Amino acid sequence: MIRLVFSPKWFFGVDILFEIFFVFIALLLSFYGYKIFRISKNREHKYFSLSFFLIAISFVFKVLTNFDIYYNVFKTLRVGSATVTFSYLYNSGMLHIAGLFLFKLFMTAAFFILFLLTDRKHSRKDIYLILYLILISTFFSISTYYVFHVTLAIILFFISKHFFENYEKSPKTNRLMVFLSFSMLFLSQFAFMMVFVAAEFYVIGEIVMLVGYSILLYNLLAVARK
Amino acid sequence: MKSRRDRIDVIYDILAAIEGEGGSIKPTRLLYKSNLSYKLLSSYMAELMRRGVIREELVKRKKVIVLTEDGKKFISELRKMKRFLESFGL
Repeated sequence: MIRLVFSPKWFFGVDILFEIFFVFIALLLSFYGYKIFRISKNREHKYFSLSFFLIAISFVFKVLTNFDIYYNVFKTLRVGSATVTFSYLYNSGMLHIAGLFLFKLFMTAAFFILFLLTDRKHSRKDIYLILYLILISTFFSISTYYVFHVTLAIILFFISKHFFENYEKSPKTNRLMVFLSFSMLFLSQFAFMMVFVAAEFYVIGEIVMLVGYSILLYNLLAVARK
Repeated sequence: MKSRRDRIDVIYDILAAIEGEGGSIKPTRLLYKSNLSYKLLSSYMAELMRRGVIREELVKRKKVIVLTEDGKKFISELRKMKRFLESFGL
């Protein structure tokens, strides 16, 4: 038995709206990164664009999976079965498991690529090893919920650390914005880890993530306006 | 700190050099200000001319490189891109 739904019932749909917004922001960043790559021909910029594209794809999988769970599966199960705990799905939810697996895989891969961009001291061998570990951790995170968020928290910690150092080198508002946004994404992982204490932590996690992605959008718009 | 300039920096430096001279510059001065080899500068200039960002003109029978209206927009776009990349430390 695998738990697939962590949102409190009153938050159903709102989280989907949040995540559609994240898709939009990630696509904007990916598009802008690709626009830069077309001029610079720099592989780093291509991977930057790819990482945000993967974040967008990842949220698309989560949105589709949650939409199906919230609006199709729950309705079906509710018919004449008042005593059933709706938050739990059995084998019939294989498609949902696959959806969430792809969400986690693409999300971890996306942040891993960003991590590689910020940490330039790696060999090809390290990359293969970490890719393997990502695959393993994503696979096990299906049954052990924490694994995904712990993995993401660790990667996001190092990314945030890099952005803090980038800000320290030259304290400018745009650098601070990027550091703050990734710190928010890092902190949101802790809220997601606490959902077993109370479902409201899922809401907190989504809101912190909303703040994080909104700061990234603000930074992009601020740069584009000047 | 990045040790060498990437294409965006080089293109920006070329256009900024022209802009800094009031929108037109002699090829030799541009070669000096862009800090590139003749061969490399020629290839960048060919690309920028193809994009319509710069053009060659004859002023008093001497060749000058001129920043076009599209070039002015392009340099402003490059400035934004550089600021964006800088915010991510890229």
